Amino acid sequence: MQLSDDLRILVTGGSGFLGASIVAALLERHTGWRVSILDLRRPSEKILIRLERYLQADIADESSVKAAFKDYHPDLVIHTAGIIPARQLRYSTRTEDWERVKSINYDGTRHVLAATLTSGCRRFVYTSSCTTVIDDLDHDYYNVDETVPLGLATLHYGKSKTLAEQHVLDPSHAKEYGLLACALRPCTIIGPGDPAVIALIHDLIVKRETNFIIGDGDNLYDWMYIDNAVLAHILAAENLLTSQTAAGEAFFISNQEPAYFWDFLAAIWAEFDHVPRRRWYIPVGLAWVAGWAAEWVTWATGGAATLDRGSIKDGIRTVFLNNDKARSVLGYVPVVGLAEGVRLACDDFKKQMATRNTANGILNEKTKG
Amino acid sequence: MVSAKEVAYYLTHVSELRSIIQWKTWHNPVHERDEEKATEDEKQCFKYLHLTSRSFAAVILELHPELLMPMTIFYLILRGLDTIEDDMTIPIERKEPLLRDFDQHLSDEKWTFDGNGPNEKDRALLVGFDAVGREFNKIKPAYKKIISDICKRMGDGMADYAKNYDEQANGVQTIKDYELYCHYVAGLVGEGCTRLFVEAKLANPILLQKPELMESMGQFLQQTNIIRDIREDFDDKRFFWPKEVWSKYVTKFSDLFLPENREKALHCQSEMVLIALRRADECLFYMAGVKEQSVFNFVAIPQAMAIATQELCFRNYTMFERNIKITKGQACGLMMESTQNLQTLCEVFRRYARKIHKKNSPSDPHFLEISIACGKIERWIESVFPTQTARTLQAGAIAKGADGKALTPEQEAKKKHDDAEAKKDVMMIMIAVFATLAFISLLMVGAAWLAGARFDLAFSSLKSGNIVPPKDAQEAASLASSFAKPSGHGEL
Repeated sequence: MQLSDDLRILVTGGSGFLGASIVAALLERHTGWRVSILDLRRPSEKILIRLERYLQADIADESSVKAAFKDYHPDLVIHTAGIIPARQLRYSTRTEDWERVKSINYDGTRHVLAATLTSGCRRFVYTSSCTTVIDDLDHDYYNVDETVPLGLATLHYGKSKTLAEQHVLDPSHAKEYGLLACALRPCTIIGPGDPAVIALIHDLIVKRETNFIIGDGDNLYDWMYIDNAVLAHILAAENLLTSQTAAGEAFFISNQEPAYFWDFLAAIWAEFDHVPRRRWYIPVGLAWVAGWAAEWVTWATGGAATLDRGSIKDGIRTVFLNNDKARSVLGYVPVVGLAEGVRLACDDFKKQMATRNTANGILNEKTKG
Repeated sequence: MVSAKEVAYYLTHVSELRSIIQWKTWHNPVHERDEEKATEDEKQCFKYLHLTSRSFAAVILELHPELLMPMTIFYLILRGLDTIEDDMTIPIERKEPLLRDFDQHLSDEKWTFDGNGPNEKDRALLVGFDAVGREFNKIKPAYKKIISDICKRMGDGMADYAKNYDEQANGVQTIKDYELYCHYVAGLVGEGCTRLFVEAKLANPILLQKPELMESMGQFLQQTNIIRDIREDFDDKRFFWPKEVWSKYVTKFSDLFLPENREKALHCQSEMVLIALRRADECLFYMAGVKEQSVFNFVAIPQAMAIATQELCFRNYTMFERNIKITKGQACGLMMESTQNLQTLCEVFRRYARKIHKKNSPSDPHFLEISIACGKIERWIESVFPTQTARTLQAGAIAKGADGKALTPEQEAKKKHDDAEAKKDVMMIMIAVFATLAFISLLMVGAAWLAGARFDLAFSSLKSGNIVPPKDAQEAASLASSFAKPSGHGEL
């Protein structure tokens, strides 16, 4: 099947980090396609004028999604909208936190898929996450592939993404409606505009938490650069529009360049000219006790610590993904190397900090005045 | 021969001493060679082999008999070329035709060459080269063809390089030039060896369809040597490090050796290590395709030494001050480990990848890339020898073969048959065990009966319900006497 020039594509979460990059890439690669965004946040004016439509909706709210799809009939939906609980929230066990994450990631996906099917669209690319498999914190995942079953994720994010992915790929949709859906499971994504990862790692410099390595430091971890994640989404969309071999499948995607977890942190610090004079190796058991103590201190003082048992588990795990399936079915091969990606992401973060500092400067001037 | 320094070293590094002793005591060649039967010319060739190489002679001499002579001759011919290329006393006008036409002399049983300078260390080989020629004519035509083809291409490559080098006198310019040079002096050797292995049916023919693998084998070894020998080469006015790399750190190559440029030199070094290290996984891939043990040893030993040498050189400034190499103890340990199988060799690579990772410093401009290169080695090993975890080992998964693929119906039937067989074996073993137990019990009971044990009493006591033995002695005595009464001892 040939790719048609005239297609309607909807990107949910199109104002977010990943979604916005996908929109930009779609507009560039398929100039004839009419791209729309569904998001709670309005996209920038620069993007807005190039869109077919901007649909404002809160995916957690069913009626809002239904209303947005009224008289809109896309040919393919790329559903990237979701919430990633960052920092301490990642390890939260509070019910209200879970409800919130679930309402956006799982209920939101159900609403979007239902509206998609009602609109007559039968092609759906879902941005899942590798956390569907790895978010149990208790296991190492060496070169993990798609044969590992889901359902063990304990953290809110991985759990919510699992429910959503299972819903999207449920064969009953394919049987009843002829839905062609696939799920992409990226690892942690970095790049210009990344709202969380570089910031989190950069903060450790300020907090003077760069002088230690927990465990032996030999654990490999997977990251990916935004352009590669975008490429995988576009390849998946093109696949569903042509050969359809990806339908019903989930794919792990990464940069295929796992690096040692603690090296990756140090590499980012080095981009900000911070090289710890010495890094102490802390045995896991000791760190465990310290993390436990820190959690209590945090609880007592109400502050926000970086160290807790959840982040220790994340820091000593081996996690890297086998991309063979994405390579053979989607033809996915990363285009930007990880080292280059880290440089680009950090350069962007430096710019962000500079603008923020100037803004603060102006603010300070005003207060003084 | 053993210096006091060495004694002190091995007293403090006992595990290395152990490796040396183990290697010397326990290592047996895969194929024993009968030296008595060798002809004069063969002996002459082996003599040159020992003369020209310390490390390669040992592995070549242990090769499969099919490849022993072809590989010896191949090595000596390449060494002959090398001896001409290295000799700075031969002017280029003379050197160029010598290198380009070297393959013409191979089958000439009388050709010798004494034009080398008196100080050229392998001069003797070319002076007595007619012995090599005579042996060359004896090997199979298929091997001859491979050897002369490689000899021709290497001669041309060396001539191009020598000419070019004479013109510029600046050394290697770009990374591409550097890899091209390594291709001529080592990549081609990799190709020649691979073709010989496949011709002898001792390696997987797929290796010839993936030429990048054999290229990496040669590149990895050659680049390692070029990195390690920086000081020696510099003193001899030979410059193999590409300008494209060192010019990022210093303006003149000799500035690398100035003490004030210490950090810069280390950064330059780490870039050189990085270029080589990126090929390590392809080397492992190649070695996975070798079928025969002696050939595996032949290719694996140098590779294991190379990754250990990379680790030794990495962020080690001594390399710029003097020639460094791995100790004999380490070498013996590595030889032990690289003459087993692919998995132990992979462990060696993983261990050194992690050592390099531990030495890696965030202040190095190639820090992350080196971390990724080490990760690439580990990732390759994981793809072949996966670490099993509770999550990847699935309970109740469908029957799978050792290669992880689902079984075909025939395999399924065979598996069923094997399982039935195994069950029968278990039954037989159980029967044998119980029969033995029963026999021994019988013997013991019989022995007790002979010694006068009263089983009739024991049985009737059991019958009357006294299953547990009585607790105190008195009770026991009364019990015994109650049974004893009828026998007529109760008159007391």
